[in-house]
Amino acid sequence: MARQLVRAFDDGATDGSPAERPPVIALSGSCAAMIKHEMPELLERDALQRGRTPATATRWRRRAEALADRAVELSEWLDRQDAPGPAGVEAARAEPGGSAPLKVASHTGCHMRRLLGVTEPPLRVLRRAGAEPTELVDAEQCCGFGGSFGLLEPDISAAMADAKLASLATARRDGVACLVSSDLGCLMQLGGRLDRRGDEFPMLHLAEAVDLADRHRLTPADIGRAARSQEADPDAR
Amino acid sequence: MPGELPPAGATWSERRRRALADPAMRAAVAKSTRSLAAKKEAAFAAYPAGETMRTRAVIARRSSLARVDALLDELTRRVEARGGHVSRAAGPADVGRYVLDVARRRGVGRVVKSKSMATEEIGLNEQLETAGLHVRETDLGEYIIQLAGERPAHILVPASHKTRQQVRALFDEEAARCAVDPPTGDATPELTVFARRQLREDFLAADMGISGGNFLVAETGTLVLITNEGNGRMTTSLPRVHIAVVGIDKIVATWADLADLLQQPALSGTGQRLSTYTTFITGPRREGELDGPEEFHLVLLDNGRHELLGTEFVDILACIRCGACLNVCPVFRTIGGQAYGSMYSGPIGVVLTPLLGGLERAPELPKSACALCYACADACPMEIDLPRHILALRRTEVERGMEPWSDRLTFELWGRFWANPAGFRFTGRIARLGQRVYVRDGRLKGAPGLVGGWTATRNAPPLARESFHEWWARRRAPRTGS
Repeated sequence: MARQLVRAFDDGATDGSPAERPPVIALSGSCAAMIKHEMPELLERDALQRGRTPATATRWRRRAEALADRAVELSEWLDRQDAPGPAGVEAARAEPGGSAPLKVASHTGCHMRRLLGVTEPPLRVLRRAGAEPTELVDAEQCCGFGGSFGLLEPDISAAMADAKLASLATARRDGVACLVSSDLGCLMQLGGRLDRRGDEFPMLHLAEAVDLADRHRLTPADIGRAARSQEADPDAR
Repeated sequence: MPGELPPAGATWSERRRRALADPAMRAAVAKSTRSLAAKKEAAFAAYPAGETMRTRAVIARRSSLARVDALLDELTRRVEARGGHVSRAAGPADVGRYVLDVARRRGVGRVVKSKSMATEEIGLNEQLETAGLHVRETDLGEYIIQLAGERPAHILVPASHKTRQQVRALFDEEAARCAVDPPTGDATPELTVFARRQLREDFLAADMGISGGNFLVAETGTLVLITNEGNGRMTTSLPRVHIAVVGIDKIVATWADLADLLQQPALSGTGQRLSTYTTFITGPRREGELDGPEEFHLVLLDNGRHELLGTEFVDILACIRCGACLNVCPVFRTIGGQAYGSMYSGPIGVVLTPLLGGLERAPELPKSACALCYACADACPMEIDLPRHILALRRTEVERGMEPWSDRLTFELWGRFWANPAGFRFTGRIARLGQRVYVRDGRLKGAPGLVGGWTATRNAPPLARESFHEWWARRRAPRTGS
């Protein structure tokens, strides 16, 4: 899978500087961390295990490193785009007595937080989108997704999700309208657990929140509608 | 030589079930770990010199490990020159034999112990009790655990999973057994008064004291103990005989190295600048001295440690047993220490238990007791790369074919199909057909095989009727094509 990913983004121009080549945007912090931190070593080891020559293994490492250099996590990329916030948001803020910014809970996944060290960009992006993000109590604790761990240990994993959802319950009492994360794994874990408990509190990917804000629809009603339509046909949007 | 650890007791599924069904324990663990982790952060924030020392301590530990054999020889010479006895023990049986020999020779009936992970590791209490000795743990937490007939649930705070009410019940039972007054209430001071009174009698009656050791200084042959209750001093000075059982990894070359290390267990473990009592022991009581034991024995425990030198796991030997990794671990916070089936729990236990006791003894720990969140890597003051070691142990299990055949097959097929776009799209089409059986109210609520683990406790969105690729082809292809 990793070899395929490297091939897919490899245009053969190995000598062009990373700055000249388009960035590869990752929609999950965990994916970006995998590409940036694990894949070069993984592919080198894999090539050696498949009996390839050390030179070939080194070439795989280089190709993976080239992709790693270009890979950037979505919130970090959005944060770097020096675009002004949506006009509607600016207007609402400028206007005296304009609506207070919407409170949202922001959850940063473990790999994004610790391997990429990206903690501020999602908060800045949300602020620019007109929201007031807050981190949960025990924010640095894992939600329990954990890749294969979540499949092998459903009960421990769910207990970890429940601890996170208990922190979220506190934030909900303080008026947050939704939970936003830049990690699809965390969203699937927390959303899946919440759903099993019969709770419809909305959870959004950062991209969805930004999209709603761009269309001046980052409101409780529209958030709920967007969260419910996540599984619907792409055409329906 | 590989080491040997006491058996895990119950099976993994039984230990896990018990842990998850014990909300009082889980609440107590969450409370204590959250508090210890916060204290550690505050301690370092308020004490920048601690961070500099920590960095130097890492270097001191690694360089000592690089020449551990030479340092152990030097230490042995120094201890013997001061009238102490030194013995090398390969594993549990060697230590038991040595201690019982000394006990027999010196007519020992009663033993007091200060907190020691090394003696937990070799099940020393059981060995001594089987031989008819009376053994009393004197660290407050260990005393509670001994009365409860349990194993320590945390490296540093062994009884932190117990509530005050539970401790009072244990003390009431003990009071009835000993025909003494029970604690007057379940407030911490009232419980402590009871333990002090009981333990004082044990200290005075003991013939032998057994301690562990936090560090060994090679250049002077000195044993270093750091404690918060003073019981370590009583254990090593009141009885006639003192035996220290210490892992060979605890050695440092010089007092300069020790100076950098000495505060680290306290800073990272409890957020103190220094533990309350720091005890240096160099040999037995000498002529003209008023206290100290008549005999001092140092048992250097290997138990699988030597075998780790020169492997990718060598840095695990730099562990100072502060427990910082346990305090930040989300899995530890969820299941507590007993579920690990080992005296070493939390992330360090996930790595150390299989490395010392064999992967066959604890095959579940690397894959089931870790979500790979990397919190432990950030927390470890000795910069031990715990997540990388956990991944390496998982890989070893796969290479040795230790996982169930069904999991192996699932991951193999998964990898094969998703290695190319056609395979990926094919599995999507198959799953779209297959999921009809499991979708209820627009949610995926069941699944076969490994994926069934997901739906056991969580829902998932079903696969869309049309994949993005299909939608793209239908909507966009004609426009670009014609």
